[in-house]
Amino acid sequence: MPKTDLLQGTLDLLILKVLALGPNHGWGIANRIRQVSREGLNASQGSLYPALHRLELNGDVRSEMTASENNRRARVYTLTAAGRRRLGAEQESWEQFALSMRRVLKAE
Amino acid sequence: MLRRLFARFRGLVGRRRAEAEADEELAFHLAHEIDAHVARGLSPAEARRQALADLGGVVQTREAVRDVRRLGLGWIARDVRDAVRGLTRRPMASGVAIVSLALAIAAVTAVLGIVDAVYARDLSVYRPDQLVVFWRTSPDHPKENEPLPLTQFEELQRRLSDVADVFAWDDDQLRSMNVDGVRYQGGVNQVSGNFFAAIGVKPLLGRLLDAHDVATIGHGTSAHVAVLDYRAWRQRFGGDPGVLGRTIVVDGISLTVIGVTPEDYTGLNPAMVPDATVPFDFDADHIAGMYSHFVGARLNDGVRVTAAAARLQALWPSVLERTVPPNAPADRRTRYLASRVHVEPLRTGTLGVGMTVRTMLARPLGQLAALGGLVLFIAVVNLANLILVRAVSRRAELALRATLGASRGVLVRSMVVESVLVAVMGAALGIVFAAWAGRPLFGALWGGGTLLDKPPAFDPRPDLRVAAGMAVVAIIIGIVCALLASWRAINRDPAGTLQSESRVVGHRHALAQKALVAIQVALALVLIAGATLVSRSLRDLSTRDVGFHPEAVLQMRILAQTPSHEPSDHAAYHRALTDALMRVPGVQSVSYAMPEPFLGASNRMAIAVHGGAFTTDADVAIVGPDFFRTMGMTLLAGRDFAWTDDEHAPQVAVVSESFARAVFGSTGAIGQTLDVPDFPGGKNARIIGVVDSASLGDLHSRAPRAVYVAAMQTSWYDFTIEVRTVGDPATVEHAAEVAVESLGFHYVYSARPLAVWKNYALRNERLVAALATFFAGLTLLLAAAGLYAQLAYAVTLRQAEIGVRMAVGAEKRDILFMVLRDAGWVVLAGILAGVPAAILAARVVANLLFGLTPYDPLTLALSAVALTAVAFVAAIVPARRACRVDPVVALRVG
Repeated sequence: MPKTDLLQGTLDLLILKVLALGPNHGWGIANRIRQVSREGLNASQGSLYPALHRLELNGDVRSEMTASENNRRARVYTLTAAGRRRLGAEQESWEQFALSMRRVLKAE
Repeated sequence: MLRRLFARFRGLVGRRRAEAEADEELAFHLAHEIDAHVARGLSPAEARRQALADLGGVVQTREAVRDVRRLGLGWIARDVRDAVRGLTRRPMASGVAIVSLALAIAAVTAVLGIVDAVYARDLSVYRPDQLVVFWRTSPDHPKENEPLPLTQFEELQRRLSDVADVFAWDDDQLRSMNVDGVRYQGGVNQVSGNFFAAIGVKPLLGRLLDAHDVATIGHGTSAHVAVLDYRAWRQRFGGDPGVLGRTIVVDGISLTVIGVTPEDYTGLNPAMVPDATVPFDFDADHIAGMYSHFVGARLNDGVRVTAAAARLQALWPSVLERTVPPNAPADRRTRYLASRVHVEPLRTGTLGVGMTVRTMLARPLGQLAALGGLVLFIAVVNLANLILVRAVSRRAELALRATLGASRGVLVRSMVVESVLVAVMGAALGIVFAAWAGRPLFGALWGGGTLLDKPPAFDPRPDLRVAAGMAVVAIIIGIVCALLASWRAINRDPAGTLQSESRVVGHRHALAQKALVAIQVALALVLIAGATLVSRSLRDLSTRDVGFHPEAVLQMRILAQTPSHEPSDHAAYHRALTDALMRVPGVQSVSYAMPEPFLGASNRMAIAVHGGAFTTDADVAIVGPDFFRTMGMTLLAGRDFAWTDDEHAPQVAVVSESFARAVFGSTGAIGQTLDVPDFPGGKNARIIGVVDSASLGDLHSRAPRAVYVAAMQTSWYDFTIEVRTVGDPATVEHAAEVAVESLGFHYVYSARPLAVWKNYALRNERLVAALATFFAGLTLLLAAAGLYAQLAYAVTLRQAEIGVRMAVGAEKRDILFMVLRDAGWVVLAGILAGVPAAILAARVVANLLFGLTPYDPLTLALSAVALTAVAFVAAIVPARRACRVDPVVALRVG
C-alpha cells in the first residue's frame, strides 16, 4: 500500500465524517464538505473519487448503484462498521495533531 | 480481511462493469455540478467548463480511480507475473520440479482414490446415512457378527415399522446361470419384498421386485422373476431393451426378467455386484426360517441411529421369545434366548466379500501409500531446492528491493507465490494423471478383469473430496517450501549482500542447498535400495524352484450344470471324468485337488502323529491319483494314491519331504500313521509315500510341511481339475471342456494355464516392484539434477576465488579435485543418512520380501555404488568447467 500523505488522510477523514451523517453519493459528499467547511476546504473534486474507491477497497465504506431523481443512477456510499471505527480513531489523532499544532504556533 | 479480499476479487472479475459504473458516477457528478452552477446564474456552457475544471478532467479522474482499483489487487497479479517470468527463465528446473511433484501427487492421489473408493465411499443409493444393518452375537462369541433368521426379520419388520423400514437380503452367492444356453457363474442376491423400495432404487427398465413377488413365512410362494443388473444386462443381453419377459436360468430354475437396475446400483456390496436380484425362497427351501439373512433398515426421516438402537434393544427380548423355534431342545433354546443384537451403519456397505476385498487390498495399498509418501517427500525437497536456487540467484535483486523499502514480508510473499504456483501446477497435473491412472492401477492390484468374470464395481478415480484435499496439501507444500527457502535466502543485511555479491561465497545458503542435496541423495538411496530389494524378491519368487512345475498344466474350475443333479458315487464319477480327459489328444496326465494350487494362502491344519503323542501342523490338500505326476512333483519314497485307495480301503496319506524330515527324522515316514483331527475321514491314516516339498498354496512359503489325503476316502466333491499337457495347455482347452460336459454333470466355467495363476499370485509384488523401480529411477535423476545445480551454482559463485587460487599457483587438477571433494562430502553425508533410513523403509515391504532381509548389505552397497557413480557424472561437468576458469578474466570480472 502506498503511504497516505497528510492531505489524503485529511480528505479520508472528511469523507468518513460526512458519511457518518448518512449515506450519500459522490457529488453530495463534495457539496457537503464545501458547505460544512464554509467553502474554506474546497476539496479537489478530482481526488475525491479515487479516495472514495480506495476507502471502499479498504472496507471503510461500501457502495451501491441506486436509482436517483430524474432517471439517473447514482453510486451511493455508506459507512461500514470498520469505517466508523476508523473515523473514531482518526478523529482522535487529528484532534491531537491539531492541538499540538496550536500549541506550537501559539508558543512565542 | 475477507471482505477486502472479496472486494478485490470483485474488482478483478467485474472490471468492465466497474469501469462503466465509474463513468456513470462521474457523469452523475458533472450533471449535478452543472445544475448547481446554472442555478447560481452561470450560462450552461460556463457552468460546464467550471464543473470540468473543478473535477480536474474526466479522463484524468477516471484514470485515477482505475489506478486505485488496480492497486488493490495489484500484488497478487504482479507476483504471479513475476513468478511465471522467473519460472520460464529456468524451464528445465521448473519443469523437473513440476513433473516430479505431479508424479508424486499422482501416486498419492491414485492410492487415496482407491482407499477412498474401497473403504470410505458411500453406497450410491438414496441417503446412505439412513441405512443400518442388524447383527446378532452369541454370548460365547461376542465378536462374531451373525445374520438373523427370517423369523426374526419378519418380527422386527413389523414391530419397528414406526421408526424404520426393515428389509432383508442375502449377499451375493455364485450360482450356475444359463442365458440362452450360455452357462456361466453369476452372483445372485435374494431379497425381501420391500428391499428395493427401502434402499431407494428406481428401475432403469421395467419394474423392480415388490411385496407381491416375494413370499413371507407361511404365506404364498415367491414369483419366479428376476431383476437384472445393468452390467449383466449389457454383457449377457447386449443391452437389449426387449429383455423384459425373457428367461434366465438360475441353478436350474427358470426366472422371468421383469426389470433392470440402473448402472450406479451395485448391490449392497460393491465388491461383488450381483448379476441378478431375485425374491427370497424362489427354490422353496429357504422359507423354513432357520436360514439366516442379512437384515438392514432404512431409518425414517429424523430418526437417529441411537434412537433406533434403543428401540431395538427394548424390543429384543420379546422378539426372541416370539421367534424361538418351538421344538428346540432346552440347551439350544437357552442359547437362542441369550443372543444379543446391535446396529451398525451400512453407508459404505461393509459386508461379506467386501471385507475380503478390503483385507486383500490393505497390504499392497499400504505399501503403495508408503511409496507415494516417500516420493512426495522427495518432490518437496526438490521444490524447496528449486525455490532456494531461485532465491539465491535473486539475492542481489532482493537486496536491492529491500534497500528500496520492500519489507521482508513482501519478499517472502513473492517466493511463496512462486512456490505455490509450482505446487498447484504440479498438483493439477498430478490429479489429472491420477484420474487417468486410477482404473489401471486398481486393475493391477485386483489382478485385472482377465481372471475373474467381474471386477468389483469400485470407481477408483479420485473424487472431488480427494482432489480438493490434495490441492490443499499442494498449497501447504508450496508455502512450506517457500518458507524453508526464504529462511535462508533473505539476507538481513542487504547492504552487505550488495557489496560482496560475487566475491564471497554465500556460505549460509550454500550450506542449506548442500543439505537439501544430501537429503535428496539419502532419499534416492532409500528408494533404490527398496526397489532393488523388491525386484530381487520378485525375480527370486518367479524363478526359484517351488517344488513343482506349473508350466504345461491346464487348470479347470467346474460347476454343476444343475445343482440338484449330483453323481451318486463321487469317486467313480471322478474316475470316469479323469478317463474322459485322458482320451483328449495332447493330455499327458489328469488329476484333481482341493484347495486349488496358487490359492495365495496355505490351508494349514493341526496334525497329530504317534497316536496323538505329538502334534504339529501342515498344509493339508485333498488330491486324486496321479496328482503328483500331473504337478511335476517327484515321488521320493513309497507309492502314489491309487483308485483302489477308496472308502473301503484303509486310510492312507502322502507327506512332503519337509514334513517327513521334521516329524520323523531319519527313522523314515513310510508306514507311520497320522491324524488330521479337523478333517472328516483323516483318521489314523498310514503314510504310503513321500513327495517333493512344494509351495503349492502360498508361493512365499519355502518348502512348507504338507500332508496329502486321498480324495476317494473323503466325502469332499468340489475340486479343481488339473491337466498336464504335452504342448501348450491352451490347445487342449476346448476338447477338455467338451469332455467334462459330455458326462452330463458339470461344465467348465474357467480354464486357464496354471502359469497364469502363478502370475496372478505375484501381482502385488510385480506392481510394487515396477512402481518402486520407476520412482527410484526418477529419484536418482532428481538427486543428480540437484547435485549438478548446486555445484554449477557454487562454481559460478566461486569463480573469483578459483581465479585467485589459480593465480597463486593451483593446478587445474587441484581445482577439479576441490569441486569433486565438495560433491563427495555431500554424497557421503546423504549415503550415511540414507542407509538407516533405507533399512527402516525396507521393513515396510518386509512381508513382500523373500529370502532377503531388510538389512541385506549387498543390496545397500550396490545401491550406494550406483548412486555414487551417477553423482560423479553429475559432478564432473561443473568440476571441469571450474578448472577452465581463466584467472585473468575471473579476477577482472569478480
